[in-house]
Amino acid sequence: MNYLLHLSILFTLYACILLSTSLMAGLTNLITLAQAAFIGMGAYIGVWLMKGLGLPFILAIPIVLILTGITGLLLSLASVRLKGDYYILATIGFQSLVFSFLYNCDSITKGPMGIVGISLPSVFQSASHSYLYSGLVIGIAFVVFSVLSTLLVLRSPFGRVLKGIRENETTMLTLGRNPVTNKAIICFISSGLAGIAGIFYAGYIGYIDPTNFKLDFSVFILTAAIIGGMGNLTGPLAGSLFIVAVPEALRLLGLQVSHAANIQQIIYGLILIALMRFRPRGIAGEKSF
Amino acid sequence: MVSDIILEIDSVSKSFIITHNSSITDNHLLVLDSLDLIVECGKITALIGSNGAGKTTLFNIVSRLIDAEKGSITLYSESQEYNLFKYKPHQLASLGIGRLFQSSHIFEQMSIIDNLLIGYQYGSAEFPYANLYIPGKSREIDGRAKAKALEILKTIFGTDHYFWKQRNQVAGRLSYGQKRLLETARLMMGNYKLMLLDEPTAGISPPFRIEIGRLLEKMVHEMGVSVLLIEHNMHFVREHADICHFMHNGRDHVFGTPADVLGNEEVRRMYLGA
Ligand SMILES: Nc1ncnc2c1ncn2[C@@H]1O[C@H](COP(=O)(O)OP(=O)(O)OP(=O)(O)O)[C@@H](O)[C@H]1O
Ligand SMILES: [Mg+2]
Repeated sequence: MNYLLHLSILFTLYACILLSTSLMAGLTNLITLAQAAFIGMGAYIGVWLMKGLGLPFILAIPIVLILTGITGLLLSLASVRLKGDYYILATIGFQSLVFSFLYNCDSITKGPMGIVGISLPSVFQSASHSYLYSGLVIGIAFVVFSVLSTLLVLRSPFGRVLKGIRENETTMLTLGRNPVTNKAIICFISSGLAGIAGIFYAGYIGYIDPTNFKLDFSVFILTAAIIGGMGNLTGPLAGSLFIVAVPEALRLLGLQVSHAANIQQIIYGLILIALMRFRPRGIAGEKSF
Repeated sequence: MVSDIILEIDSVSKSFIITHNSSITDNHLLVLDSLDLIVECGKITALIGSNGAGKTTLFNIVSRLIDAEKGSITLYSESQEYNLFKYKPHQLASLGIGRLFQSSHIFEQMSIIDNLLIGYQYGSAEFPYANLYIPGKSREIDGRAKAKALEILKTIFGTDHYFWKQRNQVAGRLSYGQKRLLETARLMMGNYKLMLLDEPTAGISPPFRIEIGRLLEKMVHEMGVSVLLIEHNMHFVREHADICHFMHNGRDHVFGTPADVLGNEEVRRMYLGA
């Protein structure tokens, strides 16, 4: 039972992360490999607000959202000059920058030592599994927030403009829309949501260190987002289910833990290749790659 | 005099640098050479000229997608003068300038109805989460946009038309001619005063050409739009244009009524091949 609760919480965490990724990479043509950096920023800023300044969890969330959002907005402005693959390189650069900062500025971040003793606020007072139940309730609240944020974009004139920019920027210019500002806004929303996923991550796992937020995590997120599909609601949710289910399936097959991690990588790689060939929209996505 | 003019193009020059692999020297290709041109209010002004004469280049300069080397372009609208070179490309729609490109610029992944809706100027209702902080206003604007799109589909094309029947299907499935028609109709969603139409009838079958001609007349005579029209179809020019300009060597070589220009000795020799 506890294990099932844990898996459900992981699902909510990944759902938040993939929803945020889908808003940026799915609704615009800004493929990003810096999502882990935003999650990390959110986690570290959130922990500092809570442990350093003593702010309650609920107050740390909006501050994290705004700070990581603004950072994402600024990064998106690089896309004015850097198109396509060059923008991806810029996000990798930003990802490395954040990691180096977290790793090396140990007076602020405690560096490789990491920060321990973080916790989520408890929602219930005295249930037997209170910590996991609290985590699940908070996770669901985060997912609902991310889903609503996504849905309100998808179903709005703003979302239509983003899809237009994704297809043809020049046409959108002559129809009176500025691609730069619209992309900046969606990057604010996307990075902000990734940031608050980070604070949830820190709270639930209870421990953060810079290696949790490295480039390979960003690659993993983008892979999962592509496998699930982007540009709609079901794609990211399918992707999250997939991330949680694959290791379990491997475990059921009786694979040793030491092998499972490697085999998982191979499986992700193979599935990605197969999907690109046969189902370029991912399992349930709207945007094709 | 000024009140009758909507657009004044004043000695605009543009050259492209052509780099040859084999030589070190750059070649300048002078496409527009101190071009002067006037678009009159409420009229259809045709712009004709050989392939490569620089017609699309001129449109790109007016749309601010590329810069001219010299000259100026002035828009006269509601007794105001606007120096277009001070504006960014995305600001021209709100000045009332619409553009149809030479190739299909339909949003293939969007539905037919969304392709129309995206032509509407939503203003503040297009801010993210507008329906949370200005719910009344955003619902009202949204409603107006939808009503306008449905009205265009119903009154212009009719409920028997495939646009109406397939309005929720993706536009990518439409034929080329259908896409061009939809794109022209999309321009009617905005509040344009001047439309730059780049070969709306190229690659279009006769029935569709008639339909596009009908839209054009409707825009000019019912909506009060002025049109600058690039065309290679001389029947279409003769039928719809009020004034015709023949571009040659980067200049406005001959202009006048379509009958005069198309009957001109030089135009016949250099362009019509007769
Ligand atoms: N970006 C560019 N770089 C270099 N040369 C260009 C560029 N754009 C246009 N040209 C050249 O400028 C000339 C004019 O092109 P333009 O597209 O304006 O012609 P056009 O009159 O619209 O012709 P058509 O009737 O075939 O559409 C052509 O010789 C073209 O090769
Ligand atoms: Mg052309």
